[in-house]
Amino acid sequence: MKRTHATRPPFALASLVLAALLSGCSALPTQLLFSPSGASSRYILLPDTDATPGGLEVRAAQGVQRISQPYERISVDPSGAISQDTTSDAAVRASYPVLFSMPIPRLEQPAPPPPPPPPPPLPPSSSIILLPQPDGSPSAVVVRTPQGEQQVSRPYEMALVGDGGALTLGETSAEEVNQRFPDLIGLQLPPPERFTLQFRAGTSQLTPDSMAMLATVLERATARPGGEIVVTGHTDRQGTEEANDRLSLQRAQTVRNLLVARGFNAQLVEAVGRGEREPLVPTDDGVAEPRNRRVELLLR
Amino acid sequence: MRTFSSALRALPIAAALWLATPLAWAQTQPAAAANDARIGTVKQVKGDTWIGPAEIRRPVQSGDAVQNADRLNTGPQGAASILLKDGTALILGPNSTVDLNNLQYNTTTQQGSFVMNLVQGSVRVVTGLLAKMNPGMFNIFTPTSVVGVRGTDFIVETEAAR
Repeated sequence: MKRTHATRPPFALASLVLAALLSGCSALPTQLLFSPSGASSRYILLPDTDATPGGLEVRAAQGVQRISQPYERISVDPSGAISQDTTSDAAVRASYPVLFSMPIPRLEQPAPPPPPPPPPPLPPSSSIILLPQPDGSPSAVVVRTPQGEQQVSRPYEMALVGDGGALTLGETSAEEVNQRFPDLIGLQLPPPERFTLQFRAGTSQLTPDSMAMLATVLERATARPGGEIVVTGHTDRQGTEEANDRLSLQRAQTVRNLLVARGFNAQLVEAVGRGEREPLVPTDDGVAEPRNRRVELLLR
Repeated sequence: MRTFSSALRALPIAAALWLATPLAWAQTQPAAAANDARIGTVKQVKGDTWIGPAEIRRPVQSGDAVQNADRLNTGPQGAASILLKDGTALILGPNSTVDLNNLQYNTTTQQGSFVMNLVQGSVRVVTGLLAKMNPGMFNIFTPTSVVGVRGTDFIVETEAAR
């Protein structure tokens, strides 16, 4: 605690001591000196610029006084009597403006080392969870990383990919998956719906019954979010294959046009011709079979 | 790939057709060809969900087309389901980003490829015909792994970069 002007390094003023010597003074060895005769003096401790604790000890003819808090002040009267009180930053600056008018010279401090660069971000980790097939049939996924390969083949089995591609297997459950991925389970796509429309022989004209069914098809397709209709035309086995390919596509396009004419978004209806390749009722070539003259509608 | 495809789409339809297909065919089948760019359709949409590259992304609505090289993106309350032409269903969870890097499917031959990059978040994949016909062409990339399939329903999740 015995820190005075005499013992401090001249410029590293961690704690700035302001000694206002109003007259000649003397002090004890290694301490401030001041004159015992006919002069008064004051000592004020200023706050440390780097907040290290500072302190000051003053010895006078009639005693010793220590201060350690900023703005504490020791006064020594001409007789050498010591007293202590506290002043303030504003008062000190007002009393000794010149002492605050100059920058305090400082020793060149070596620049602090730059902070270490932040560590590179870890690559994100991934998990892959196998869900059961609706019909219970077996399925699997294979997860490959730079570290190897792992097959996930049981429902709710899980592959975890860690740093650098490290692979581990884990286990989860339907409950956990529901809780963790509610949207992935909640946004189910409704199962596709199928309709079949019949045609008059050799034409692309719908039978009256099938014409009536179109309203139902439109209603069902519109009810599906982003609903699409795939229209696939088929023929019976009368006529050549080429002719039947053309006829099947014509049939599909006829239905597509009907759907679009009734307001269904043309972008969401596709017409496909399958000719005589997929008969509903297998027949010999050249046989007229009304059930094969059809258009199948897939709503998805 | 992305830049090229985006630029391609930005061109007038006629020019895109001319680039993408033999000229004679394009002239006779413009309507069908325009529809061919659609590789899938957005079904349900929840909360904030966007499609397209970051700088020109637009909100998604039910019935919107999904095309090759699209990026799909959801906010904290977002989610979306998408049905691809081959019957593959994608369900995108919240705070997720997927790039449909290479999505090709020929309805007639049932051949094609499906390469998707899960940049962040979670996606559920219910595979369709393509994974059945060409399992080797069906891959989902995460920043640290590649997932291949065998006719399947599964979830892939990737955390945000830490």
